[in-house]
Amino acid sequence: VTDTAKFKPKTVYVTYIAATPTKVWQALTDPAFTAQYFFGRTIEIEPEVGGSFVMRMPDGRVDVKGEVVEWSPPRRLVTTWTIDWNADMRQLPPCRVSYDIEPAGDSVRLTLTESYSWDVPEALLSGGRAGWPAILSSLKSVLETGKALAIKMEPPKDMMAALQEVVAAKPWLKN
Amino acid sequence: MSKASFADVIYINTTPEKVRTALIDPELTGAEVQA
Repeated sequence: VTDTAKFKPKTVYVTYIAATPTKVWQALTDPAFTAQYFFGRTIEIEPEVGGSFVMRMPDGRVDVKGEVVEWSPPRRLVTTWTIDWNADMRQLPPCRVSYDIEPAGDSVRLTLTESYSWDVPEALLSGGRAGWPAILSSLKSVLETGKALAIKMEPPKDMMAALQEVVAAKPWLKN
Repeated sequence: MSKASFADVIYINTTPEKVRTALIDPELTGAEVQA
């Protein structure tokens, strides 16, 4: 299993959801749920530490690949992420994505944390910072109302421009 | 212009008018708000 102990949090997003921890866990790990709120992506995840993790686009192409770092239903799910739909993205070191699910009154506090092993530039973080609020707002909406949000989003232009420079310089090798 | 060091965003399945009402209607906010 990838050692992510020294990864540093760069993006944190918190939302409260009127649901049980078990229901939120199911929404995070069941492809029938993720297809509704995660821009049509379906998750494939082996339910054990070291298991494989894949997010597929609606046309079946792989969007994200990684492995399960922690599998503790219904409280904590940690996976590594490598973006697979772009050749430059595939060269970046994996990041770590953690979901923490905590009871909060009769609701749940869901915390998403995106962490990195290297000093990742702000421009490369912009995709996640734009995407996570939409994804997790839609997850909340699905669980509370049964209805996903219809939001269209493209990768930020600044991120794609910065990506080529970063891949050429490979700053993670100097860390 | 200074850059914010923290920002939170949420998407809501409703209309701008309803969000505006929710922000200023004491029955919805649960507190007095001066518009």
